[in-house]
Amino acid sequence: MPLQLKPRATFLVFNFMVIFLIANVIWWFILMERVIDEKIEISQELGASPDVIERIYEQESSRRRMVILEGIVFFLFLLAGLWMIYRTLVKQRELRQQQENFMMAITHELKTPLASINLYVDSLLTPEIAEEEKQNILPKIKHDLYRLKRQVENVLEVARHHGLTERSSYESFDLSRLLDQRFDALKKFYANANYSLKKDIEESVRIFGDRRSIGKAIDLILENSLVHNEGRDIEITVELSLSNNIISLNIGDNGCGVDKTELSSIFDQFYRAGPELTRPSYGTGLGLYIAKEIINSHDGTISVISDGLSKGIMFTVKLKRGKEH
Amino acid sequence: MKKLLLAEDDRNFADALTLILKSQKYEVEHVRDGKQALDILEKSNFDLILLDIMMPLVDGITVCKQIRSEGNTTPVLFLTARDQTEQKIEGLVAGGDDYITKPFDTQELLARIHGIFRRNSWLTAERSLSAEYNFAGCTINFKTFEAAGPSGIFKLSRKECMVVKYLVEHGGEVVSRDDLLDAIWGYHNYPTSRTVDNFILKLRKIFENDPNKPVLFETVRGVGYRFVPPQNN
Repeated sequence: MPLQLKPRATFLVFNFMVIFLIANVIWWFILMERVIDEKIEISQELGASPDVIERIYEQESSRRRMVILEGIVFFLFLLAGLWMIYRTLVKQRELRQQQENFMMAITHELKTPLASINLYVDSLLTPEIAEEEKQNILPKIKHDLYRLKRQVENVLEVARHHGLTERSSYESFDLSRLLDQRFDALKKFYANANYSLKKDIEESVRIFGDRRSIGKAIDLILENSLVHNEGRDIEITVELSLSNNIISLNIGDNGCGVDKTELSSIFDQFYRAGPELTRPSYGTGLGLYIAKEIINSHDGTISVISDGLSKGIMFTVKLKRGKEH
Repeated sequence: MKKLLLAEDDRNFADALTLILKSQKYEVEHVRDGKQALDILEKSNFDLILLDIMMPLVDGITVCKQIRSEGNTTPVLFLTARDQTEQKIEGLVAGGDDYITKPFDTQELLARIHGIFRRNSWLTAERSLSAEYNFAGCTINFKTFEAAGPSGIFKLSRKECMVVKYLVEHGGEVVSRDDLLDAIWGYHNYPTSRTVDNFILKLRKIFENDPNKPVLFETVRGVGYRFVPPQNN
C-alpha cells in the first residue's frame, strides 16, 4: 500500500517538530555551556593567563551562538516545509470534498428530472389516468427538460472554460434590453415561483461583449435567487446604471441570504453552502462560479454582500462599456 | 387500500410518482423534507415509506435510522439518484428494505413495491409457523419482531426476522446464501452475499449460548447456513 500523507498526521508531525526544536535548543545550550566550562577549567589547570581564558570564553560563546542559530534556521526551514505540505494536503482534501459533493449534486440534478420525465411519459400511457390530469403533464415535462438543459449547459460551460473568453464573439449590444429579455425568459420557466421584480434600469446602456455569455451570467444570478428561495415570497431587485464608462448592475433579493462566513466561498467552483445530503435547494455549485468567470473574462468584477441568513443578498457587477463606445 | 408515504423534495418528480401510484390504487401522502417525514410518521401509520436520500433538513438515511431506533418497522424503499454500491449498503444497513435508483422503470418500481408487500405478508402469515416461535429456550415473535435469547431481549429488524423465519421454515436443510438473498432481499443484484454472513453473526449473538460455537445456526462451509431444530422442539 503506498504511503499516504494525511493532514492530521502531518499536523501531529509538525507539533512534534516544534517541541523537538525547543528541546534541542535547550539541550544544545546546556551541552555547550558544559563544554565551555570544561575548556576554561583545563586552561586554568594549564596555567593560562586571564586574557587567554577570556578569549577562549568569547570564542566558545560565539561558536555556541553560531551552532544554535544554524540549528534554529535549519529547523525553521523544516517547519516551513512541513507547514506547506500540511496546507497543501488540507487544500487537496477540501477540493476532493467539493468534487465529491459536485458528483452527488450533478447525479441528483441530472437523474431526478430524467426520472420525473420517465414517470410522466408512463403516466401519459396509463389508461387509468384521467385525460384532464394528463393535460397538466406536458408543461411539467417541459420544465424538467429545461432544468436538464440548464444543468447540461452549465457542465459543458465549465468543460470549455476557455471558450468563455473568446473575443471573436464580442459585439456591441443593448444591455438594458438584454436584461428585459432575461426577465421574460425567467418568467416563462419559473411560472410557479412567487417573486416580484423591482426594476430601476437606465435605458439603452450599451456594452461591447459576448451577448450570450453575459445573458447567461444574468440568468445564473437571477436563478440563484429563485432556486434558494423556492416556496418563499421574495422581491428581486435589479438596478442598472452607467457612470464614467463603468456599468453597474446590482441584482439582489430579500430572501434567505447567506451566512457571512460562507460569503467568501460563494463563487468557488462546486461550492454549495451547508452539507450536501440535506441541502434545501437544488443545484451543482457551478452557477455563480460560471457567472464570475464570464464577468472576469469581460474584465469586470462581481462582488456579493449579505447581512446573514434570512437577510437577503446583493450581487454587484461592474463592467466596462468596452472599446467601441 | 395501501397507504404510502412519499418523502421527496423534488416537486415535479413527487407529482409524477404520486400520479402513477394513485393510478395503481395506492393512497399517497407526500412530504418535502426529512423533518416533515419524521413528524408525520410520529402521528400516522403507513404500509410503506418511499424515501429520498438527499432531502432538506434531515436526510433519508437519518430518517430511516431514527424511525427504526424508535421501533417503527414500516418497510422503507429508498428512491434516490445515488447508485454506488457503498451508498446502497448504507441505505440497507440503516434499516431500508429495498433500494431503487433514479431514473427507474415504472414497472420495476411497482414490482419492487409488490415484492415488499409480498415478503411482508409472508413474514406475518401463520401458515407454517405461528406468530411466536420458541426454540432451545429462545423466543421470536414474527409480528412484533421481539426476540429473547441467552443474552437478553432484543428488537430485531424486519430483515433479521425474515432470515430467522426462512431458516426455521427450512429447518435441517442447507440454505445457500443466494437462496437467502433471493428470498429476503428479493433480487439478485444485492451488493454482496457477505451481508447475509453479517446477519447470521448478529442472530448468533442473540440466540446462541456461545456465538463462537454455534449449534442452532450452523455454517455449511462454502454453501450457506442450516438451522438445526432442537430435539425437544
